[in-house]
This record gives sequence, C-alpha cells and structure tokens, in this order.
Amino acid sequence: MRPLQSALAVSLLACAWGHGAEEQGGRQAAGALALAATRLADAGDLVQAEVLARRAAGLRPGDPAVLAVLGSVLAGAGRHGDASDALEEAARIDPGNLQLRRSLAASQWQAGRLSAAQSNIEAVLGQSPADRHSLLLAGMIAERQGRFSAAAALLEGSGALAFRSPESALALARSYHGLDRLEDARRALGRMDPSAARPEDLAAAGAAAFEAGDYESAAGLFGAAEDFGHPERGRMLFNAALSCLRLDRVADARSALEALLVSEPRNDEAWNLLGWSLAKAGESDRAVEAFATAIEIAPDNEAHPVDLGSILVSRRETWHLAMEVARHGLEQIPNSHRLHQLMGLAQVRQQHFRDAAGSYGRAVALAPQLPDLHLGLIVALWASGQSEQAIDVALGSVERFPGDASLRHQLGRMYLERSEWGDPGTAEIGAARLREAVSLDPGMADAHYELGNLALRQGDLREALASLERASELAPESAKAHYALARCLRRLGRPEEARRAMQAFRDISDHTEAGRRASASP
Amino acid sequence: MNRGTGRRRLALGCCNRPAFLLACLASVPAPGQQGPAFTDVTERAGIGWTHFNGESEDRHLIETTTGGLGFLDYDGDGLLDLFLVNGGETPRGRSEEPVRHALYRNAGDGRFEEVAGHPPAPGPELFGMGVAAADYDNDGNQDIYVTGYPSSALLRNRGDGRFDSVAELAGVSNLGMWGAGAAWFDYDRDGFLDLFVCNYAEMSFDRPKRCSYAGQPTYCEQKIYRGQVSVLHHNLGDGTFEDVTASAGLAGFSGRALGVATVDLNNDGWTDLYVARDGSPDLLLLNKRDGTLSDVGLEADISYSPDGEALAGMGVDVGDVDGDGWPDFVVTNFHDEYHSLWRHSTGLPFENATHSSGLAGLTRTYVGWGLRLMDFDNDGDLDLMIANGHVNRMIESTRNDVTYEEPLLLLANDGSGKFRDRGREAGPVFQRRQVARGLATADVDNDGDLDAAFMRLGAVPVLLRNEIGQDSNWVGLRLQGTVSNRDAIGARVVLEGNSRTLVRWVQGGGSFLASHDRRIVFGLGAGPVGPALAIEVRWPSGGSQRFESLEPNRYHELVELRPSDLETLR
Repeated sequence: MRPLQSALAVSLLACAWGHGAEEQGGRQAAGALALAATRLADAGDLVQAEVLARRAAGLRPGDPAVLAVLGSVLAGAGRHGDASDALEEAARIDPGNLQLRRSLAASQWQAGRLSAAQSNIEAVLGQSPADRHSLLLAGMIAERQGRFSAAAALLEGSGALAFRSPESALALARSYHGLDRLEDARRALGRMDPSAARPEDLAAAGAAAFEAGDYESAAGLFGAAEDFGHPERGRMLFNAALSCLRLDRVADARSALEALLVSEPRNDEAWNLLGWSLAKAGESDRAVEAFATAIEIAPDNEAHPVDLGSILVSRRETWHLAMEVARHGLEQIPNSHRLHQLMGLAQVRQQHFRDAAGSYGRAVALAPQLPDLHLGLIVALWASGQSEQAIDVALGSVERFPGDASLRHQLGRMYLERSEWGDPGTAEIGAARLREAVSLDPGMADAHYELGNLALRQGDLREALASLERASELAPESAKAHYALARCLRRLGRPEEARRAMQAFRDISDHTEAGRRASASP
Repeated sequence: MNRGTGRRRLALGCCNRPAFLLACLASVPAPGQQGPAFTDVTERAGIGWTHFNGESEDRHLIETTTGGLGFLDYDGDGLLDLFLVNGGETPRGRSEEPVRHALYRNAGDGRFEEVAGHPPAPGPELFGMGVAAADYDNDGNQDIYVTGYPSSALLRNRGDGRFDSVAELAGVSNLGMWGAGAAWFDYDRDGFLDLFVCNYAEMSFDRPKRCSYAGQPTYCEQKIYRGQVSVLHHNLGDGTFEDVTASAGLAGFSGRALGVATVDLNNDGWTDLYVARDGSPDLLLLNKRDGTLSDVGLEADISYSPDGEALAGMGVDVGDVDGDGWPDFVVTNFHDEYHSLWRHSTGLPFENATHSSGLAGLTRTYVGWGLRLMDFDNDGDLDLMIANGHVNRMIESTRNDVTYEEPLLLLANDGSGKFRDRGREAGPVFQRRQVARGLATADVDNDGDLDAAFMRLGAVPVLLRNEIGQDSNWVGLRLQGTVSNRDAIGARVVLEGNSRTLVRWVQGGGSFLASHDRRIVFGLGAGPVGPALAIEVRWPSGGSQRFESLEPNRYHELVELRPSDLETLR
C-alpha cells in the first residue's frame, strides 16, 4: 500500500471512531474491522485486508470512512478502478472532505479516469491552492492528459516534491519535452536518480525526448531503461541506437546494435539500422552487407531494399546498384509501390527516362492516392520526351490533389518550357500554375525562382527581384537562383550586390563540378 | 581613317560561272519547277575517303568529338580544295588501314581528286580533331593547322603543292593538350596572324573513364573531365610563335573549349573572340588593345544559360542575323539546351534570342556541332545550316523524341532574325539522319553561292552543292591585306546599295573544327540590282577603303592600300 493511501485510511478511521463513541454497536464493529483491514494491508496481506474491509462496508455501507478504507485497500492491490468506485461513493457521501477527494483523484489518475481526476484535484486546489501534494498530483494528471504547459506549471509549483519521486521528475521532463523546453527537460532529468525509477517510466520519458528531438536525453533514457531491467531490452537498445544515430554518434549506435544483435541475431530491424550506421560511417560495403542480411532475414519487408536503395541512389557512383536492389526487391514484393518508386528514381538519375516512366506508372497504379508517385511519373514522362502525356497526367493529378503545390509547380514548369519551344501562349498558363504553387507552399524555392526568371525574361525587374531574392533566401544552395539574382541586380544598376550574388553562384557551381569529378571513375 | 579613295582594284581572274556549272545544268530543274536547295554531290565529286574515329568499348570521349574539315585554296588556282581531318586509332579501336588525313584538290569540273602524300601526315600518334587554314606567313599560300591529341600540327605550304610540318619549330605543337577548334586572327594588329587554340580536357588513353547504359558502354558526360587552358600564340613574323596565353590574361580560363569565332564585337577595329565551351561557361574575350583580352561573358549574359548552367557549347558562328550591323552569335549545344542565338546591338548584355528566333523549338531535340550563318539563297539574310548528331548510341531507348542519328538543319532567316525550317523542301539530304560533326562552307564552283561539306563520324563526309543561290544576284569579294594580314581576317565589310546595308566580317574560326572559304558573298536578292553597289572595308590594320560601283554577280578582288600607295595617289 502506498503511504499516502495508508495514512488517509488511518486518519479517516480516527475521525470515524470519534463519532463512534457516541453511537452504537454496528458502527464500532465496522470501525474495528476497518482498522484491522488497514493493518493487514500495511503488513502486505491484501487479500485478507479486502475481506475485512468489505465486511466493514457491509456493516456500514453509507460510512465514508469505511468506504475510504476499502478504496485504499483496493488501490494497494492495484485495482484502481474498483478503488475509484469505492472512493467516489465515499466522496459522494462526504463531499467536503478534501483529503478524501485528493485520494479519490489519485486513484482516478491511476485508473486512467483523467477528467474525473482533474475535476476532483481542482476542487481540492480550489480550497487549498498551495497544497504541494495536490499540486504535484494535479501536475501528474495534466501531464498524462498532454496538457504540458499546465503540467509543467503545477509540477514546478510543487517545489522539491517533484524531484522526490522519479515518476514525477520524469513527468516534469516529459512536460518540458512536450513544450520543446529541451534545456529545462535536461535539467529535470539531471536531478533525477534513474536507478530509483521504473524502467517503463524511463522508456516513456525516452520516447517523449525522442519525439521532441532531444536525442541526447532520449539516448540516455533508453540506455538507462535497458540498464535497469526494462523487459524489452532489445527495443531499448534499438531506440538508444536510433537516438545516437540521430546525433551522428555513429560509434555508439553501432555498439548498441552490435550488443542487440548478439542476443537477437535475426532482428532484421537491427540489421537495417546497422546498415544506416555503417553508411553514415562511410563503410559502404559493410552497410550493403548489413542491409543484405536484413533483406535475407525478412525478404517481405520492403523497408529494407527501399532503405538500401535510397542510400545507393543518393550517390552517383551507386545509382546502378540502387536499380539492382529495386529489381531484386520487386522479385520478392512485386506489388510494392515503394520499390517501383525506387526503381523509377534510380532510372531517372541514370537518365533511363522511358523505363522510369514505366516504373512510376506501375507505382501510381499500385498507390494512386500518393501524389509523390504522380509527380515522379510526370517528371519521367516529360524527361523521356513524352511531353503531351506528361501534361495530361499532370492536369489529372492537379485535379485529384488540388492542395499539392509540387504538382502545380511541375505543371507550371512544363508549360513554361513549352512556351520556349514556340508556343508563347503557354507562358502565362505556366506562370499561373506557379503562382498557385507558391500560394499553396510559400516556401517552395523553385517556384519562386521560375517566376523570377520569367519576370526577368519579360523585363519586369521589380517582380523578378522580389521572386529571386525569395528563392535565394529559401534555397541558399541553389546556384541558379543566385545567378538569376545577379543578372537581375546588374540590370537594376546594383553592381556590388550583383557581384556578391555572382560570387555565391560561382562558389556553388565550382563545388558541384569538383564533386562530379571526384565521384567519377578514373 | 583612310576612307573614300574611290579606287577599286578588281580581280584579274574573277571566277564567274565556270564550265563546271554548265556541265551540271542538265540536273537543274526547268524554270518554275521547285528543286532542292542543296544536292549531295559527294559521290559525283569522287570523294570516297572514310573518317575513322577509333570507337571502342573504352569509349574515349575523343572518339565522338572528332571530325574536322576545311576548305582552302592550297594551290592558288582560285578553286577551293577540301582538307579532311581523320581521327585516329585508340588502344582498342584499331583501323584495318593506315589512318590518314586527306587533301582533295578541286579539279574545277565538279570532281575532287585526292592529292597523294600531301600534305604529310601530321604524325601517326596524333589523333586528329580540327583544322584552321590561313596564310600565317603572308607568303600568299594557305597553310594548315591541324589540332588533335596529344599534339597539334602546323603544315606550312611551300607554294609548290607541298607542305612542311613545322609545328615544333614554330612553337605551336600544343604538346600534351587536346586541341579542338582553332582560329587565326591578328590580335595585336601587327599584320601577322596569331593563333588561338581551343583546348578541351585532360584525357588519357591508358585510363579511360567508364560509363554504361543498360550494360552497354557509353561516353561519360564531359563534366567529369577536367578542362584545359586554351592558348594564344603570338606570331613573331619570322615563322615562329610565342605563347602569350598568360600575358594576354587567358591563363585562368580552364575549361572544355571546342569552338571559336573571331569578330570585332564592339566595332573598335580590334578583333575579339567568342569561345564555345562544353559544360564550361562560354567566353567572350574582348580585345583590350594592349595585348590582353578580357572575358565579358558574364556582362554579356552569354556565359551560362538563364538557369546558370554552362551549356555544352560545341560550335559557334558569328554574323549579323538581324541586319542591324552588329555581330550576333549562334552556338550549338546539347539536346534540351537548344542551340543559342545571342543578339547583339551596341552594348551589353546581349539579348538571348534563342526562343524568340524560333531556334529553341527547332533545335530542342538535337545535339549540334558544326554550323554556319550563310545566306544560302542570296536574299541578303543570313540563314543557318547546322550539323547534328548524338553521342550516345543508346539514346533512343531512353528518349522518345531524340535519336542517335540526326538530320542536317537548314533554317531560313526571315530577315528579322526569326528562323523557319527549310529542310523539308531543301532536298533529300535534309531528311537523312546521320552522326555529323564539323561543317564548312565554300563556293566550290565559284557560282556565287555557298556550298557546304560536313563530316560524319566513321563515315564518308558529305559535299553539298548549292542549287539555288546562283539564281539570285550577288556580289563576291576576296580581300587581300597588305599592311594587314594577307588574308584580311578581321576586316569589316559593309555593302551599301540595292536599298540595303549589309555588314559582314572576314572571319577566323567559326563552326566546329572547321575552316571556310574566306571570301565574302553578299546576296542581293532576285530582283533588279541597283546601279550603285558600294563596299566599305575597314581593314584589320585600322584603315578604311571604299569601293564604288561594283558589278554584281561576280567576284572582285579588293586589295588594301599601303601608305605608299596613298602617297603615290596624292
């Protein structure tokens, strides 16, 4: 039994005996039974304690003190729902008893009856706003409800009490994570003794930290949960490794995964994550081996070839390998739209545009609800010279996904390009689609750039400048945006700014070309 | 300015409607019948030499970028001869026969005869690229510069039909470099032609870069090859040259240069350069008149595409496309990049007229190489002939709209700088597809219109005879410098008359790996020609001369007055 509940029972009983001196027979018997039940519960005999408490309640069914004893015995047995029922009845009979209410709120919190718990603890705080135990409980309830701002304020109001128990300290840390107050969260965790915490609470706090992007805390919490005996050791190691990887602590991630794989050598997810770790460490060959093991263990899991392929497709020299991975994956999972998408992407990279159009076409047929696949198909059709089909598909896709900025952007680009081939009427249609894309996604640098470049071509320097400045702000790594901006500034008679923009353009271009040569075969 | 002497010197042997033309009259359609603009006369001319490019599974990039040719009158008989540059062998691309360049002598009757043993092979180890012909020593004979890898050759014309190979002696062997386009021009106006050589990229036959498509070897993209510095050789006037690349301010321009055209861009009397570079920013080198050249490409907006991409500049040609008296430039590029038209009028930047001229739509699916701004129908407007051909044999399996073999383009200028495809009605040769590279022009039959020839990779080149230009009026000029370089390269020539003013330049370079008939032909249209045709020449030396009352439909030889001649006149 929790000390809080035991103390509540004794104090309520003392109060009941006070009255019992003036009353007769049954009241005294019930009081004796209740006291005996409390003692048995304190001694750990919860079964016998419940028997005596229920007999007491049978003798005095309307006695809130007796009901409170029954409630605390049931709570001690972990039967929070039953405990809450008993305490709710007690509170109904004695609504002004704040101690009883707080006990009820605690029980409801434990039972997951959070709204009722909140209501009862607020009633208590209405009468006793500085009561630190009530503040603590209110904070715990609020944290569980996801009301992180209130939770943090209430738990902070409980002072040092919040750090007396790891459970409440973790609740405070989770609240801070929920509020993106990462430093406060780390400080709260620093004041907590993890060895005193339940591994499950550590894991939950780890999850909150991960969710908040506090991978440093998450790695520590998952590691502690694993150290202190979390029953799902493999999951804790995996989560710790994942957190480390997010921190680019590749060696730590690898050691966690290697430890996991000693005990669970057929854990394909672990092999997958080890593959990512090795890839990040630049050990490409070993990374491929790790992914291959994951694929061998779980050939039906499309994530493994898709992940391996996405690593391979990001590097020029392994584009062809990405295609091979996609091909093998599709032999196992022919209906995977993600693998068809990977195949299409690898084919586009290698300029196998016609094949790419086929791959994206199959992906779209399998998952027509995904706009990214439509976009891939349109790009591949356009690049393969099937411009009419590309525009037809794009028109249909824009109609199907009216809120998708990327599709409108692509359609706009295609119309603009067609205008360059001798169909000037399509320029304005293209510009309209680009403006729609920008209004849907004001952060779309490429659409700003296209609009700026068109305005520059048409001699509208003011319009061009606004769009090109926005494009280069949004995509400072975009060489073309800086180049167009430099041209625009020069025409506007702003040579110094033009020079700076041109320098930015050259720096990026030189870097790109050097990278190309470095990645080429001898 | 030395202007308005009114003195006119005409050619002693102006070549007008030779017997060759009469021999071919049988093939000319009857009046009113629309015939082809050009006919393929290769076989009839007796040209059977085959280009060899050493294509192998190693796919050395040089295999697909070779293919130069040039017209020059090597024996001074007034007929333009044809020099064909061969590629060469590669470690795994061997020829069954010895690889040789070829010099075809124009017999004047429609036939071309290969001149055995001449010029001498520039060297068996030289993989040939392009040619630039000019009289660099002002002795009245056309010399030949052959670019290639890993060196280039200078063949000095002895004047007796034979050549000496003098590159090493002259200091222009370009050792270790991959020479491509080249141009003769007098950058310092000392009266001797200097030599600009486009160098392409670092390469090695021992360490080929490998790329593939669907398991088949393909040429890697050019950008993985490190570009080289192009060089400027100053002609010292004694048969030797000095490398002035650094002192001229050009040492910093590393890049994959392929084509070069010369022209006086800003009309200051000093010749400037446009350098087309493949995947490197094009250069517009302005002659600073102090021995240096300065790149104003960025100011002119020609260095990159509007998207900031360095295009695949292969060939470049210059001419007044829109009739405003200022030189405009056309550059051939890769498919999807469009071949560019840069319109120039007085200042910078240039206007990118690629789209408005129609060129974008007309060239979008082609990989272009050789090109010539030429008034093929003699209507006074510069039209455009472009040789195309892809580099990737597998392209048709990835693109629906691009082919490996591509057509020769003939684009007619409407006079305002807008182009229309004339291929459909211009003859069967424009419906054929081939992998073409260098393109050169010359009036081989001296009938007053420009004929053409182009090289095809690994195949027999094609000689095209212009069948319609001679039906319009024209006036042809052969300029001879005296104070200026003898070829008058760099001269600006203005024709006034027939209600028009036309401007042309005597060029060095132009096109891709090619050399051309340096005579100027002004087209005057089919209508009656006015009585007062006048020509004003500003010579490369800076002096001007006016020639009045030129008779149409014949060539005239215009010779630069020396200061002593002026004294005599006074």
